[in-house]
Amino acid sequence: MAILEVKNISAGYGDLTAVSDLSFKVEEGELFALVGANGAGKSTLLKTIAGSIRAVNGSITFKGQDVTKDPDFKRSQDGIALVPEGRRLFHSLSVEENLLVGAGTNRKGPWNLKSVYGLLPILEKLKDRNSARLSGGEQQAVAIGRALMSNPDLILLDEVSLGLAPIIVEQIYISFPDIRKQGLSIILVEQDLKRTLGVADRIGCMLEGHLLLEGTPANLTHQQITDAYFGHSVQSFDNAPSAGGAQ
Amino acid sequence: MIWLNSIAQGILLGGLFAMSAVGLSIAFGVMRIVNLAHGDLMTLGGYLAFITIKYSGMSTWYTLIIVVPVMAVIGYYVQRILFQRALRMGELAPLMVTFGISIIIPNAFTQLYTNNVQQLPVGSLATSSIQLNNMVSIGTFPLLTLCLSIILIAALQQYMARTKMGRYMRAAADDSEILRLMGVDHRKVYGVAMGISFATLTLAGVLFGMRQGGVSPYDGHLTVLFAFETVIIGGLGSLWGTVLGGIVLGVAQTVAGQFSPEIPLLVGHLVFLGVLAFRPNGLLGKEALR
Repeated sequence: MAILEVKNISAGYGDLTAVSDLSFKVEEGELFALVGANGAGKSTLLKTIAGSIRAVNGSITFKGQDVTKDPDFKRSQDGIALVPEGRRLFHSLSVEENLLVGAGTNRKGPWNLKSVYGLLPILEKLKDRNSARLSGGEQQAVAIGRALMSNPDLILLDEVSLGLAPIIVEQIYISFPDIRKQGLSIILVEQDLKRTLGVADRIGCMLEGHLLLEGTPANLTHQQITDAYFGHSVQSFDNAPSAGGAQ
Repeated sequence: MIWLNSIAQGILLGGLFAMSAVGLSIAFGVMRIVNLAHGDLMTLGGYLAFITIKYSGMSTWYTLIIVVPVMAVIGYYVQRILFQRALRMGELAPLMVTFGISIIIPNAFTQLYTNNVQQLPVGSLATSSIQLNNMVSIGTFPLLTLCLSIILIAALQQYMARTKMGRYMRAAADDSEILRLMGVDHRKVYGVAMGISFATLTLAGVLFGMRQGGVSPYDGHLTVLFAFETVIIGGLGSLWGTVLGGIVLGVAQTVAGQFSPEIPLLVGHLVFLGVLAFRPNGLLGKEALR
């Protein structure tokens, strides 16, 4: 059964439409990766699913319930957690306090301070540190831990590796299988294509607010993805409609 | 010695200023609401105490047990029903709403109880004092106010630091959008914060009325100024800063009063302007993060 079903969703900021008429499904326990250039609408799509941005059109169904009209905190209580772009920690709170606020949904599940410290041991050492005084990688670990504290069913990871040293990104990716063991579904937005192909069950490629291409790492070629990524006329698609008039 | 006495009186007065400023600091710190009606709500608290005395005959101190919780509940619903809607309409709307309240309250009480001062008797405490030496004497009531103020601020500090709701308030001050994504209904958090703000300003309003001998409709126009000055001098977002700000403002006023009875307010404002010019973040304020 699909845990999340997005149907014909459109969203944006004021007059700007960042996501238009987009549909996809995420199966239970699946890791769905969204790739695309800057400005393709990936972050907007995640924010729309989390409820920070209201959809102009379309519907979002989560665990069989229509949540399109639910406010952000209600969706979080239902089990959607967003790890936002830029981490967005609470800077006047300590690491542990950030994690505790993350448990604001009071949802039951495997994640609590102890298990999050078990998964991300670096956090236990830093627990009393003010979260403003952390490195980028440490902040990212707090942001992931904070989202897990809500015991979500679906976690939305926005640009987890952006601006981080490769070695730290490696550590974060190493924790993925442990996170997924609990049957958690993940939508991952990532710039690093190689890494994405390594972990994703399915990939969606976004361009200018549209989902251009969808498939599994096995049945998509690298060429197809890069074409969709950069918006080249998609010659490499087997079933591409003839690009009449395109140069 | 006479200076020492006026400094002592200033510190005591500062306790009252600090108490009246705490609620303003919370409303701005957590909700980013600039509450222009803060002083008039203090007046409202004073009048509620007066009305309670009038109909029950209890002493002013006991009315606090009724008036403070009542105002806390009012604060919660004013936030939920009025300010929350205003917040959705942008930054200017809450300012206009509080400005409106600041006009309604004094005018309503002028209609109901005239412009006259309504008594808030302190009882025997009004005149009792502790004589330190032949020049310095500490009034029992002002001392009590200062102690209450410090206890209140220490308690609030602990509440903010240790309780779940306090944590949510600090998180909301940092980033309320993300707090909502953590499954926390920010409107409830805001409501509780405004409830605390109303409770503390009521306590300050009643004590201010007791100190002045009573409450009159337009007291709020002055008290709101003192509260703002205290918050700015001490530093926005710092609870202990309000104690320091209150004491600085209080001492400035009483010391100036030694020179001439006409200049205390003026000197208080000048000290405030000086802080604004040379330490815009206040004496204990954090560097602006945004």
